[in-house]
Amino acid sequence: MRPAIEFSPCDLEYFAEDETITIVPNFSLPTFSQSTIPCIGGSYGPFRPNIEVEVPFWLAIAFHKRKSCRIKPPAWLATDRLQGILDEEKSTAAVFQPVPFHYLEIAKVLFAEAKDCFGADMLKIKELVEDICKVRMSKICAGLQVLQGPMTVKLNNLSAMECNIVRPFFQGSLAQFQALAGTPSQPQL
Amino acid sequence: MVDSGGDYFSVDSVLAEETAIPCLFQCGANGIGRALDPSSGLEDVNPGANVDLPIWLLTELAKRDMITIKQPKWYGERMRRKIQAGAGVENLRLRCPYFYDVALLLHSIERGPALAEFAMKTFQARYKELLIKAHTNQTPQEMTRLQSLLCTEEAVLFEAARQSMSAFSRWRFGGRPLAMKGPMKRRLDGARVNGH
Repeated sequence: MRPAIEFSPCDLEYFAEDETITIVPNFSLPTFSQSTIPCIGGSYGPFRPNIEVEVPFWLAIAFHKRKSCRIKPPAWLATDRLQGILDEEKSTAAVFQPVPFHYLEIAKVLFAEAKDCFGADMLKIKELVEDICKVRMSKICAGLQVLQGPMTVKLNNLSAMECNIVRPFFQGSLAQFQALAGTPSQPQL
Repeated sequence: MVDSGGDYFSVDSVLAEETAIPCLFQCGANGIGRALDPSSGLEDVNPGANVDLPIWLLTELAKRDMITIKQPKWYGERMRRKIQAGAGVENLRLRCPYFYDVALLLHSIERGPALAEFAMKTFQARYKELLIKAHTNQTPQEMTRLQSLLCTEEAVLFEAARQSMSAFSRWRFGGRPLAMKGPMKRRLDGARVNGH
């Protein structure tokens, strides 16, 4: 049995940096380029002081490191929203709440790079993300436990990181179940 | 390697085919007594001799009806009862490191449904009792104990889960992989050397 192709958590963090996020720049670009930055993936901007603009995550982090913008944390990354998700997550054992696909990665990078954008709630938010992750992980384990043969297990709304954690084990187990059940076809990725 | 079933490039598959299975020779074979068992006193194998043969050899001989395959004791009645009583405590690595692969290989030779069914049942029970714990936080002692019980196929799964889990927590909590440090030098009286 070959180990499955796997992304490392750092790869996923890299993918997550393509998500967009709102920033408030404190600089302006010259007007001959319409105050935008043309990139391969599209042009971002216009950048004018104190006007909100949506940019990819990697650009926001790069600006923030140069202290030339303020990052507005995404709407879901706030105490009340997270508390709501956590409560829902705890009360419904079978269903996963729809969280952003890269919620763990975005939260981690923001906590590391842009602590100031959360203000006083930082610790509380960090704790809530941690709790949500824990509750979801234990639910995933419970979900995997029902696996009793080459069949499907319903795990909807998993985030990228959670998928990636269970992927090698889940795939391998299904392949083993399939081999023992005697179905001739090879498992597909 | 035309139809022996195993994967030519997989070391595990090759090793699984090395597993010795007890067989009963139906007819004699000349000149291979010492090759099969170096401690044997005879050059020839007599009809009715009990010999342990590796699976790759057994496949060909069974096709020609030269031998009867006996049930290895790790698939025997006793083992079945044990698995039924508590699959999670049985040490499969000790019994047969390639428990499932060997079961499938024997199944493909014998074509009896019982063996595959038993292997399936075993895997289901052990999946539930042992493998599922790979994602959870256990003490290192408990992990070592669990891992020592697993046969090779199970260990691959278990290790995969452990690795993805530890990669995740390393990423999450910013731990660096442990730096390899030389043994710290100490003087016999316990004082540190080199100002460390």
